Amino acid sequence: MKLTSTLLLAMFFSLFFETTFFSFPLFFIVSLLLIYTKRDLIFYIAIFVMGISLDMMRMSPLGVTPLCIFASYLLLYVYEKYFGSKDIIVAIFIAFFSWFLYSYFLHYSLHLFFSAIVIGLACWGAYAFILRHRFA
Amino acid sequence: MRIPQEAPNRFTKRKVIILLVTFILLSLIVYLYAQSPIAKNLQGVVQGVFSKPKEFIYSLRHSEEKESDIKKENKKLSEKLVNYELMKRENDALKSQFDISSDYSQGLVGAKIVGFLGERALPTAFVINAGEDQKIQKGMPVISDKYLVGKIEKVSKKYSVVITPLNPNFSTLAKLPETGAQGILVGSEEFMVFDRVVITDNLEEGGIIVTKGEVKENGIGILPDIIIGKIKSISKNETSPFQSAQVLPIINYSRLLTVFIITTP
Repeated sequence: MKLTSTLLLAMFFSLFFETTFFSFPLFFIVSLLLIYTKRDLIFYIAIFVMGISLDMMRMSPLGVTPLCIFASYLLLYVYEKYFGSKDIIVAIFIAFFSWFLYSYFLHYSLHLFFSAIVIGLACWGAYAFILRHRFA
Repeated sequence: MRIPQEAPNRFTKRKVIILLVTFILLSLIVYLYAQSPIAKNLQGVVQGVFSKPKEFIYSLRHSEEKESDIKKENKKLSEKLVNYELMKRENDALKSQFDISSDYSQGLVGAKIVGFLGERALPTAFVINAGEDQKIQKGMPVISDKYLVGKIEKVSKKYSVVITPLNPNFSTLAKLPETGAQGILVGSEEFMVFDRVVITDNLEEGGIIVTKGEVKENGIGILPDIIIGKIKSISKNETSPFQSAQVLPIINYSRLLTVFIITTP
């Protein structure tokens, strides 16, 4: 519950601060983590509504943020369930690739090299933390 | 790092996939019907609610620069130089009685910046809290003092997107008043390029580039003689019919909080 409330708070925080205070796709990463850890309908609805609100405020095409988040997670889910694998490297690769495409097409700040390292490490750390938390 | 395999639950698997596909389809529907009146009105409401908080948050990080005296003096001198060159040309034109001075009657709408796109130090676009409700239209120029901030690219009910001259999608006719050189100014992320200048025209390092003006019949468009930037370096090849110059902005875009949109009255 602590992790969930932290992620929800981070998502709400990013609605105000993303593209106002910093140009980093925090909402995308946090939402992906949230639906990966909590498969409740309420969280899907929250991500959908907040994603559209974010699109409205940053003047990007409406619906593109929830579309990218759900499509990325679907890819990850299908790979894990139908190939029977929970390889962390593949999960990080899918998350990173989705993040990169989302950032590039929506004109977020792209200091590629530095961001790639930060995001890769963050995904690795978050995924390891979630796995330990889930199976503790 | 691998974890033990869970026993596959077909119902749960199918349920999650159906849920995901449903939300993807909903997102696609929203994307396709983004221009519908319901979506636009809802967008206006959300933008109105978040406008003041975003204004405040933006002002926390992007405070208006307290310029040093030397910088202020430098800016004043650049403006005086441009004014002098423009007045000189107008005088010559009046004397010759062959030139027509255009009279654009315009209005000004003030707006606060509530967001940015691109790098923080050199943003390629701003989001401002003025839109259709304030009669803003695509193509209107946006200024700060006597400097060009950009032009309106996208308009919604309460917000608009302004692309700065650094944006690769930005282009406008420009000139160097001191020598009369004319060309096209295009954005290139970290600087601007004053391109397609005829090889016989003179360009000078440190020269101030201003807009040439491209106002349409409806009165919307970039007005002439708005300062854009300063020439940093010149690229000239005697075998080519054109030359170009790298132009840097004079104002610090990341420090702007308030801008003005030039509208039709």
